[in-house]
Amino acid sequence: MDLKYKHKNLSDYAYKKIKTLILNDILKNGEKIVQEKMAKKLGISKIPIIQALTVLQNERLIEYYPRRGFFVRELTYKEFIEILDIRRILESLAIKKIIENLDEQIKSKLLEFLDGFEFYNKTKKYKKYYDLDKKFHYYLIEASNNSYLININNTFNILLLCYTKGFKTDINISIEHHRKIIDAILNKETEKAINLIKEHTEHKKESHLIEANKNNSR
Amino acid sequence: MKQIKIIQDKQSNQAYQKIKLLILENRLKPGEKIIQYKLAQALNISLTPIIQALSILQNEKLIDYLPRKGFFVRIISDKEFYDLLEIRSFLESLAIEEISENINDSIKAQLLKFKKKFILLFEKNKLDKYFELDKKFHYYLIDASNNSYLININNTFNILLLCYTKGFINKINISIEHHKKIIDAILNKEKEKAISLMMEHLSIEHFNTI
Repeated sequence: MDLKYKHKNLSDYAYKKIKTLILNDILKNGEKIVQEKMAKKLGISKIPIIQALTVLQNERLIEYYPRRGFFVRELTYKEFIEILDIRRILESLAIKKIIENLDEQIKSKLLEFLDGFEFYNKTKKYKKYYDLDKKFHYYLIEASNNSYLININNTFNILLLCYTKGFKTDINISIEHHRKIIDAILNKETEKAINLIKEHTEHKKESHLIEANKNNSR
Repeated sequence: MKQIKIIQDKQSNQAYQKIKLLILENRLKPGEKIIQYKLAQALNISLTPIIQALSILQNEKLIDYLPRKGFFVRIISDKEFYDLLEIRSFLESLAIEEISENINDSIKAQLLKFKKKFILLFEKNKLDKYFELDKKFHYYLIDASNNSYLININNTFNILLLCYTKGFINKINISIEHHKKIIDAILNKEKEKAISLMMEHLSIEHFNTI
């Protein structure tokens, strides 16, 4: 029993570590993941590594080719668009729920985000701005209080993939969108807020397409 | 860490499919205890694959396991059903959006076929068959969306399936009107109209919970 428990922890540890390496682009798209090296690097045996890789394969972050091994999987353009569509739907529902449940606590949290965005933009702290951006979108999902919404986002890494595999929106456009979305929520304008979220994700689709074309024509 | 679905062999896969169907068709009812050896007998499958199948279904949240008490068909709370319906309505809206944008002759033909069958079963008052077709229709919309994440989300969380085990629209005259209007709107490429009709169709007030 004790052994089994430790075992589960080790594969969980490996899962988290490898996932972070992929999502921070330290393990690059298409790169082979050598199990022995990874085991050595993390100081654990091969079995929990393989377990973790299998889960990540299930999450479509990794591919397995028989006799060749595990590789970091590159998202196709179609998949990226699919993920953005799912994200838009999840965030639309989140916003609908937040407006339904809007209370003082949510209001002050949203205003806090807005202040943060303005501050980091003014002081040109762009890395901090984009960190807060991520936190804001996670907050919307979490505050929806719909367990399925939260679970779907976590299981399929929807937001995470948008942030790590997508391209950053221009900060001026981003802050304008955020300002409008927060205003619409505070004014309980559900339709308007949902349309703004749509605009926000459509914009990401376009910038992704432009970047993809650039890379292809290189 | 999430557990992975591993279906060990043919027998446990068979058991899994059969038990899932029993739950979906409400022949195993919410809260009902699942007696393993009886199920093994009824399905003519040995005990080990039955337990494997039950474990997978437990992972899919269709079944609860209570230590020293056994397996039970999971009861979905009203709050959970409400969460499910909400997420379902948004997912199906996306499906309709994608279908309206990519409609082709094969989708058109399929939708017309559904419409014809709905009307036929309604006129003949074949309730069971009508509601079977209802399920097929909603699954079809998700599959025809051609968004692999949408299909995966529905399968992983059994969104549609769980909705059907907990509640349904028992007023067939409302259901048929909705279905006809939704199909027409998609065929006429009225995307926004089709979406709001689907939202209306899946709003909680039309549902009777079991």
